Amino acid sequence: MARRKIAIFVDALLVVTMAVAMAMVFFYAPIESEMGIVQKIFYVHVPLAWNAFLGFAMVFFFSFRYLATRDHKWDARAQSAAEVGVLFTTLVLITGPIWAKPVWGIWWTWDARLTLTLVLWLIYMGYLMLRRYVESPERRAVLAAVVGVTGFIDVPLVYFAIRWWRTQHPQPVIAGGEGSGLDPRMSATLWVCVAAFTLLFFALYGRRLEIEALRAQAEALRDDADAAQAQGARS
Amino acid sequence: MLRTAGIVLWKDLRIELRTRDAVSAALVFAILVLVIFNFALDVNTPEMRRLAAGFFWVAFAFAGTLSLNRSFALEKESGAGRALALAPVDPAGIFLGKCLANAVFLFVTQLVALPLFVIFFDVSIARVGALASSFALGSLAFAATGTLFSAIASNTRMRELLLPLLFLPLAVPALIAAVETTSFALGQTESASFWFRLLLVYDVVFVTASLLVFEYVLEE
Amino acid sequence: MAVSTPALSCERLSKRYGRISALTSVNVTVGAGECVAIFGRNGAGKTTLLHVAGSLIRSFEGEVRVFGTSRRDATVETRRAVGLVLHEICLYDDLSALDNLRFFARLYGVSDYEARARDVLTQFGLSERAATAVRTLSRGMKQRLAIARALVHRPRLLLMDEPFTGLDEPGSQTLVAVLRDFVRDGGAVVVSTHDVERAFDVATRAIILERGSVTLDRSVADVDATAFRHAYWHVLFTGTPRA
Repeated sequence: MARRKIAIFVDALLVVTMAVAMAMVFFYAPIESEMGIVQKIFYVHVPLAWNAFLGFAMVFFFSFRYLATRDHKWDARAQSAAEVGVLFTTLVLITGPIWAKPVWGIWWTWDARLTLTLVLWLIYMGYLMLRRYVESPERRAVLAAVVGVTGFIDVPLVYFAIRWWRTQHPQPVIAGGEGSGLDPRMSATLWVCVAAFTLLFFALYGRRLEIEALRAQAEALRDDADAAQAQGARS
Repeated sequence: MLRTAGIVLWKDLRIELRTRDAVSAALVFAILVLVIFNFALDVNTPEMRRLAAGFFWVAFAFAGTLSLNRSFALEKESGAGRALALAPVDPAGIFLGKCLANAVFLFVTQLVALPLFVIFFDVSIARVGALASSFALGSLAFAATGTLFSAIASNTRMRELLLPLLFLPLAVPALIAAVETTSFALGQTESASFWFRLLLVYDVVFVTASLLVFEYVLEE
Repeated sequence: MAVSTPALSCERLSKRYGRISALTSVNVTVGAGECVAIFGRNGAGKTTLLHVAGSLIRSFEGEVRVFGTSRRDATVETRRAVGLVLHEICLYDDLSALDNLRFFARLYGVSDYEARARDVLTQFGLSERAATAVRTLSRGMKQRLAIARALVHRPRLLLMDEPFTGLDEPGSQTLVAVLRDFVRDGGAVVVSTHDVERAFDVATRAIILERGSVTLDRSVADVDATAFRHAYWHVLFTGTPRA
């Protein structure tokens, strides 16, 4: 019951925050001088990216806990985080080019951040595909957890490799330079958007967990029914 | 653990000496990819020659998955891997033995492919020591991650797809570093100390991580 | 009977795969010097039982101990004490028979691995083919080699899943002799089989598994082989045990 109440609270908060965020994006934040209105994708692109990486950090943490405890609930959490995470990552990869094309004339620039996100997407996909192709639930959980842990360890290495490589082969950067100053109205909007999308992440994550719990329940009931039927047939 | 690694390494080397499956599969595939690059692109231009190291490592990233797949396919064939997993040994030792064997196979394949590569792309080896280090560290990097994921993928019905899918994204840092260090060895860039260090760090990190998690992969 | 720790003890062992119950509350104890033959239809749970005892299956309900140590722990010492013969031969096809045995002997820490490997090969009549790849051996020879592999590290408990399958007459006789010696020297054997004659040649006890439960567990001395065979065939073909 408590979980339902939390879910409803998060949903309500999400609706409010997202509404405020969108209002701020379109009416409060100023239009950027160089890039024009297209720049506003930034307010969606950056929070999505932040959550994509948060999702993967969660997959790492849950995978680690699963290997330590072998409690199935950690596996369910890792799976849910991965599914929502890959969704957000896909959206980052879509909003990036949408932003890049009008501004720089090219769809993709292989800049450090976007490339890192692409690699992250590939690691997520590997994780999810592995889950799909392992038959036994226990093996699936263990093997996926190993990938979840080692994949995450790789991320900093990927980041450093790409960043150093990029300093040697520079390209335009999509999300704005590291130290580019933001108008205070822009940063305020950005923060509200980050909050809104993080809430969205957790709302979706919570829903996914619920679905998984229901599915597991249904399966357990079906197994019990079958076992009882087999017993009945025997006696 | 080291004793086990030695026994497993010897066994894998012995099998490879008899069958030459891993090296020949990787070699043929790598040469094929290099040849196809030659047809698809005009590699005789100075710009392309500067990218030669890139072509080489792309060919090996894919060819390597063939020999890595074989590493655990031979364990599954008649169930020998099961008997191996049940032996009273540290699973980390099993990993280390197979990882080193795979690294050796990749390294040997690269050495054999080298003359052809030099001819196709018309490059010269400016720094032999650097080239050897680049190949060695790169092979170990691929072997570390590849052996782990080959073991994981061998549990599934789509192992030929899953191995490259899991392994290649994680191998990205090693791939970039390997290309840069090989370019350096070919005399095309002037410094690569960062890349050698990255490759070394990658090797240490992934061999260690795989050693720690391998027991989970091995259980049934 | 022996008061020391039994080689294998299963208490209320149950294993479910989703909705299918492979084993239901199985109680079996095997002591040193005993050879237990397990009979049952395919799917009755013989292989599952052996796999749990051999620690191939680590999640189950109930308790399974090998020489006193729980199988869930699968410690190094208990692994060293157990030899397994499974449906698969568990050998490297591209290595020679001798190389295979040497490999496993070394892995199990056998100090005189070279001599031991050769001895076991001779015991199973495989000396002439010692240097050829396992891939080239006949089915019967592979099976003999698989059994040799299980024995090369001098285990104290042998778990064998239908070892007589694929063996020719001389091979079967060798196996019976080997098992007799093994048991006489204090080892314990659990062997699943359909071959009633051979089993009664060497077994001290017979167990029938029916749909995951033990329906018969009797000392071989108490049972007449022919009567047993008839009862067993009745079980095989009709699925219902006859009193």
